[in-house]
Amino acid sequence: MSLSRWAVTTAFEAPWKRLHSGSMAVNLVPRAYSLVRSLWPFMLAVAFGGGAGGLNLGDLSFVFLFFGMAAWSTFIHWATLRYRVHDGRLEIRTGLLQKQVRVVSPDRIQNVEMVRNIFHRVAGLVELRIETASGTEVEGLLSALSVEDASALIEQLGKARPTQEAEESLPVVVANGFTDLLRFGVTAGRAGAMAVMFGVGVEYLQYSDPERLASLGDLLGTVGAVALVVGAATGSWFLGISAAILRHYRFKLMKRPGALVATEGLFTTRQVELPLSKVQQVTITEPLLRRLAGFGSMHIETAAGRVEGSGVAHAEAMVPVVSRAAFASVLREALPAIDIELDQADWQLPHPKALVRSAIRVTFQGLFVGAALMGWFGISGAVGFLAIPLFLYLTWQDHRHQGWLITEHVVVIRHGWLNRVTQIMDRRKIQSLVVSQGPLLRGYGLGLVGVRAAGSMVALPIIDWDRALGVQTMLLDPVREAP
Amino acid sequence: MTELIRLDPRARLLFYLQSSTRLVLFWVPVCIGGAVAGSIFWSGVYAPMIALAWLFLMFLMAVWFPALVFARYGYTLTESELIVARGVLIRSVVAIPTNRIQHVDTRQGPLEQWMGLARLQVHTASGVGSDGVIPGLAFDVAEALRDELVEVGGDDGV
Repeated sequence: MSLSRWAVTTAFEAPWKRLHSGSMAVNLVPRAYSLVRSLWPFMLAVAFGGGAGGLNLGDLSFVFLFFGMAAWSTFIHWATLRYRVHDGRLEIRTGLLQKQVRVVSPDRIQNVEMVRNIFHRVAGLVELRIETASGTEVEGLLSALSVEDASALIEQLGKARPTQEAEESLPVVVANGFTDLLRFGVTAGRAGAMAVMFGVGVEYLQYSDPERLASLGDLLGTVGAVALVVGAATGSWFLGISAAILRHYRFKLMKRPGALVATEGLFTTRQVELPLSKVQQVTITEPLLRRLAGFGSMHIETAAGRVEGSGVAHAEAMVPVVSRAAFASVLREALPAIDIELDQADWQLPHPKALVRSAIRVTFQGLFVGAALMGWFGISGAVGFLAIPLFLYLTWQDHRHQGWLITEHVVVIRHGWLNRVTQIMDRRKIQSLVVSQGPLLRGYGLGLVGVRAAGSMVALPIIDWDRALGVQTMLLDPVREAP
Repeated sequence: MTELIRLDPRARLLFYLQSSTRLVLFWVPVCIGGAVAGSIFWSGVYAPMIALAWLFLMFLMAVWFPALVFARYGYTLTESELIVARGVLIRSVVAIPTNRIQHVDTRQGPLEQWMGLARLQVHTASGVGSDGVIPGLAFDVAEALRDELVEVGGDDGV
């Protein structure tokens, strides 16, 4: 650091700022909820475990413990967090025992997200999430700021947004109304939710009236059992629809110079701004039901990533409903580099021997399923071997629908039949490439090409090994040419 | 494909020592524990036999694999990429454009320190722990390669 620069930085020390004093009020319930959600098996055990009915003192003490932990972490977050923009960079200081100072350079910021849950809205506050490409967390999380402080900070970082009035006049790329979200929710796969609802129901019956559970089969009969399944499916559909409406209510994807702005949410509103120069991948998902209904969903991803649930979620705008006819136009807005019409694309196919390899794999899976069922249910479990032709059919369909292509600017990969996924990656965003083969692929002379971008990876369908090495070399051309 | 640079010859001994250490400090206690637990809860005949068979398999791997790992490892630094080839059962060729490199680590465990070797780990923004790992390099070679890689700079693509 030069002497003059040292003089400048010490002459003006920007003052540290803290979170709004309403931080405790707006963050306590969401933090307690996320804590409970992450420990849901334990909470189920507390609620339904043990022999006595109702919540006893032990159960209540666990509930208080969870809220106590949430309250403590919320308090520490508010009491220790300080932030400022100093020397053009965002600095965030946190921690009580383990102190940390994080410095984020504005040119490394991938996107700035403003989130307002229902408590933020009542209190007139906002949560600011500032993300870079490193790590798997939100690098700058300022959980309760006044709208004025948030706007000032965004402006200081050079990420100023238009006012709300100006924002409303921005051109809309896609908007999803209530009917769209209804279609989105109805077609959401809810098998997991159904299983959880069914499990909780059985657990509750066992807990409240074990004798009735034992005689449930006799009580319901065949018609009753069918009605139960239909009821569970209907319930899970309602769940899917409610979740879709809550999260994506009044979804709008708008365009402003150099960026896309997405807004959505009923109780918790979310606004995310994605600089177009940072968009690295667009993924179109079209599960069978949605394909039949003529629409799919589109994920627009930047390099910023954070841990959410059990995996890494990318900072992104997810457009719930895009009609098939609008795929091309929305894609062009999100990824201006795209230089191909997907409908007229001349897809490259996977190597035919890849089908043999997949068939061998699923046959073994089917044999395993059949053997396991026979182990549990005796000879009647042999019906499980019927999974083999089903798996083979699905594999054949999947193979038929795989495809890939490489243009001057993008890599496009399509796979899946029941759940068709098309991934389009900007070639300039490629970080590294790996070509690999296991023993079976080596026997057939085949290879897999994995294309890594920041925080994500796409894999080409299986192709000839020598061709895979050629693709690896060719894909790096625009990266080599980068300054 | 460009000619690959092989690892330092001492790396072969390093791999043998690492696999032997793993065998003695991990697999032997695991197999003994498994045999004892299996004898108590399952069968006093089959459990020790399975544990012994597994230990023998691990012994064969410890004898057979290190030489193959050494033979299959190689790297080369071209004008614009670092290429690393490796793998016995699963073979892979990783290409990392040098302008995408975020940082490079050199690491030395106790055995590597004793033998004067080092492991090079190359990180990009892809979020994979380390995109390219080259073990068994002479320490000065690893340092020189590290310095050469971090000096490149340029557009990191994020």
